[in-house]
Amino acid sequence: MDMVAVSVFAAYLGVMLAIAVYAYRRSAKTSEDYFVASRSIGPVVLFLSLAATNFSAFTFFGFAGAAYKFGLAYYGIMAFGTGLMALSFFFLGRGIWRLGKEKGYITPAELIGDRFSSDSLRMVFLAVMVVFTLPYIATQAIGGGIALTQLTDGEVSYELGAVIVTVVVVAYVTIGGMRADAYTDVLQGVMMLVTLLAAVGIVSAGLGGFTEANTRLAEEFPELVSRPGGADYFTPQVWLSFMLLWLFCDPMFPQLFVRFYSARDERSIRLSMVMYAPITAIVFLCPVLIGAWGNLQFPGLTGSGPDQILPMMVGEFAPQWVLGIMLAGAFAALMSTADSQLLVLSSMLTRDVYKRWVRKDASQRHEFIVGKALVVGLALMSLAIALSSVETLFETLTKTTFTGLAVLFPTTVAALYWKRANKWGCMSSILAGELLYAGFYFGVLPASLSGGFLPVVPVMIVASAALVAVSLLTSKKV
Amino acid sequence: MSRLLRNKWFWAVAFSLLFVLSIDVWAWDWSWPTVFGLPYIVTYIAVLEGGLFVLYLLFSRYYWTEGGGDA
Repeated sequence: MDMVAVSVFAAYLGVMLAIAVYAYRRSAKTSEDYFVASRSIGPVVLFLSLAATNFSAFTFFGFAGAAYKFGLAYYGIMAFGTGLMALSFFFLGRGIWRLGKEKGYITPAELIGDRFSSDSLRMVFLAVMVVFTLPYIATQAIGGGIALTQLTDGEVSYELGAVIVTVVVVAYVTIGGMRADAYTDVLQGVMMLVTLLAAVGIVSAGLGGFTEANTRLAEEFPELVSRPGGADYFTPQVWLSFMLLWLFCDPMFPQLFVRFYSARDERSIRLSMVMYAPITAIVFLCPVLIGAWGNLQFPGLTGSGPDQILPMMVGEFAPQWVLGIMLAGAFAALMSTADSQLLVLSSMLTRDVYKRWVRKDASQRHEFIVGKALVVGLALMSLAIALSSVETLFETLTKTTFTGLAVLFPTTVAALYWKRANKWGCMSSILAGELLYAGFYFGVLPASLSGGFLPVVPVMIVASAALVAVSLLTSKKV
Repeated sequence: MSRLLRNKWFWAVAFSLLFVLSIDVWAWDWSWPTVFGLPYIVTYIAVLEGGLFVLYLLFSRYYWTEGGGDA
């Protein structure tokens, strides 16, 4: 175990907790302050918070692994697809922020339920968000456990690693709420960016230079520098599907949705949109390059092996303490996602369930305390998932999160823009979309039915059509 | 010029065009190296990202100006 690496990591966790204490001192001890920082987050913090929350452990490990298998074209679907998604900050974020400020909304389901005057729709919207987000918090704990085991050469077990990461996240979210979440995101976002750029520098130098690494890759693995890529993965249909997937699903991540509520003004959201293109261009290129270059040093990895290619490559060309700092960057990525997910799920259960059904007269102070208790409860639940072996359900939910959440997109757009939309149309849209997706996922429907596109394309067509058709058919009866 | 940049149809066409360009089926299997040995697809997407950044800048300067904040 390298003591320098462990010390850097310990100092990093200490700084997170110090930021939480600072945030707590600035907080108003109300639910609005705890969950959306009293709608006071300025442009720079909001931008870094959106970015850090959006980029998770998957950005470090998953993208590098995918590029190892499928090649550099993976950069296209991730970088441009996510960059273009930021246009939703205008056509969704602006409206969500305005309504949140005007009507005091704190959770996504509050806006939807209130707009369509339907508790049932509010609960359905809430259920979809919770079901597809909770397993993702567990994923971050699992990532933390694995990374801490690597950092300590196996002296800290995976289980203890997952517990340590969860405890630190719970501590700073419980202490400082959204304010601590956003402030720590700033440090975590910067750390992520710096460590990824440093990793590219270290690995490319080890391979003989940046140009040399790319030239060797093109000569030795020509299939990895163009489409259709490794395993003939990229077809025009798959390419188009991914470009659309991020546009539909990213704004429906509850942890991103509520960030629009927390913005101080429209200018903050606007700046975040402008800066999203360059940040995605840089952040996504780093793991994709290292992953593809990984074939030069460690050819033939199979199974889950490619997902370890980034730490393997850095470890190959840098001393252990440098790898420790790189892993701290990975921690930054996963913790900045997990903290936001915990907080938003807590806010939804507090406002949409507890305040709506259990204690309607709960004060902001009361909600604030319940919210903190729920953060602890949800963290324990996700930790239990991470440490247990309920793999079938867990894997299914994590694999289906993106499309499962994208189904909520037509309902959200209709809530903001279409006056004739109603609760029946939205319910039909969500149920039809999720059922169709389940049909594809579990093989009830043949994959050929999607015409080579990912399921998200037919699912979104059906969900949108159901919303329009049912709303029009029932509009006079409601 | 600024009148054009305040027209919603201009922006609808501009962003749609950029999206269509990102599909790039006409150069599907191009693999020739560009700057620093990076293959065509990486450089092409980086250039599109640059274009997207410029569009966002102009969009926020000329179109997304109404409403809250100090816009």
